[in-house]
Amino acid sequence: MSSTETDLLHDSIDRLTQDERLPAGLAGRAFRRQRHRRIALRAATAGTAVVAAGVIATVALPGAAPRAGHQGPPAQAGAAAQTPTARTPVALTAAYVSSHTERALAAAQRKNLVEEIHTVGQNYPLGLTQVLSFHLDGGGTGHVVEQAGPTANQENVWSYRGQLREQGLDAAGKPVFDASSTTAQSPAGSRTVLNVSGTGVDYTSRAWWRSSLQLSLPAPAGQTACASAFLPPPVGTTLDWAAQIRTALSCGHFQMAGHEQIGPTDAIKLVSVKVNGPYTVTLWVDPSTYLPIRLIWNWLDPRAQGPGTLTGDFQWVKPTQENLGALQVAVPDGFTQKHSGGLPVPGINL
Amino acid sequence: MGRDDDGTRPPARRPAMDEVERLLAERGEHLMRAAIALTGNRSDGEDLLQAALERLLRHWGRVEGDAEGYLRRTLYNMAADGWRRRGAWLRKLPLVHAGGRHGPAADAVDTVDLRDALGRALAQLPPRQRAVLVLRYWEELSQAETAELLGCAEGTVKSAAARGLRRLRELTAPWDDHRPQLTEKR
Repeated sequence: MSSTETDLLHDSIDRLTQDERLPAGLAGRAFRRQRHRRIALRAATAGTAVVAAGVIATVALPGAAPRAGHQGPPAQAGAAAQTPTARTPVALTAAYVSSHTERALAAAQRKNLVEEIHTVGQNYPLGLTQVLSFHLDGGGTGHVVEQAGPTANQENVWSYRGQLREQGLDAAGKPVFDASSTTAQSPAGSRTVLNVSGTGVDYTSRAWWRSSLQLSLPAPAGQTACASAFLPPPVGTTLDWAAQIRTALSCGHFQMAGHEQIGPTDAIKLVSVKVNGPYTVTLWVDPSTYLPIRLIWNWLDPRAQGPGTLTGDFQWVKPTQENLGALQVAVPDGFTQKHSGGLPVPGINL
Repeated sequence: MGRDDDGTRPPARRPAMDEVERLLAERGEHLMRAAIALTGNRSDGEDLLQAALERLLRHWGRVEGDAEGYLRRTLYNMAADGWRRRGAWLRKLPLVHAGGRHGPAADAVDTVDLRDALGRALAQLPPRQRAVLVLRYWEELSQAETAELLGCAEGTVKSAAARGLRRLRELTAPWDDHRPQLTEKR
């Protein structure tokens, strides 16, 4: 045994990895995957002459103009979550704003508001992955077999009570993919069973498919929420954005940074004070509802792909028949149904 | 069924591919070990290394002759950033890892020595702390070298290492009788 525990740690990592060998064909697989990805990217970003203009136009007026590619109905009053209140004359503290925003998010969930998010990434390609299979081995490790799909520059996301729709668009607002999923969760003894079913549409190959997966997961052990709960880097799939924001707020991860105009709203600005990685998060909330209206992640350090950002613009709308209709994926006429597609899971193509 | 292992015809080979294969022949084993240390198991380690290789190939034009350095930086930075984040339910996978295998209470009844316990406890740390500890105490880089590789301040490395070691101490508390003093080297 070594004389210091850090030496012991060195030994333990040595032991953990000592008999491991490089698997055969790793470089070949990486090469093939990269080649497929390049082909998909080429297809998805055709017509890049309008990329910059499209992104800027989309970001410039969040909530003030119809969003590019937004096929759902116009958003309704986001202020439905709470009775509008006048801005408090006292100085707002981070704790005050955080607790009100947490409560507003909880109220939005109770009142079944539909959460709509429009995201734009920079150095953060949003892709549609097909999960072909998933299983847990005896040691509890999840194994995912997946196939990369087309990549988008921006996404529209609708989320409502376990239903999720994510529509990937190119920079000009033209659909690249569309995917919806419904997750039903049920406890089964010491495990949780998730039944996820989804519909995917790939505009680059003019194909669509339906798929489902059942996942039996061990019930999560007690977590030290605040230690690891800072808003993770943008993940593309945004089913839990509201929950993640609530956790980060409850852990005191934000400080006040004044007010800033976001579209027509003189929004309260909060910036992250505790980071779990080389990124910062800025959150703007509506002072009349305390619901988030914008969230931006920034990567600060220069790394392989350069600094990145992802912007999410939020709207909270009532669950009217029209708004709920936005959760449904429409398959365009003439698209071919595939019978072997995996569960469509939009997210980050790393 | 594997990723792209679908029997498709291999693409035409390129100089980048030859260079990558040469690099893996020389340094692949060490990189694989690092990837396993960063992810906690072989299958995730393979996936991480493959993803880093894909990124290397994607940005081959920027590599400027230092493919190993680029691959190494990418591997550690992807691991430090949490790497596998795709999909809402896929994000549950780390919980699966943490909840399924690494409970110190379960280990306490086993005849497992502190070294093994430390190896498993490492997998429970947040990705950035884990990357810092692997770089500092397995790769034996200095604080400055670690900070440069991860693209962060030395202070960040120092605090991540201190927090990681403290957490390891907590996770391996059942072995306190066998533990030498845990110190952070400079």
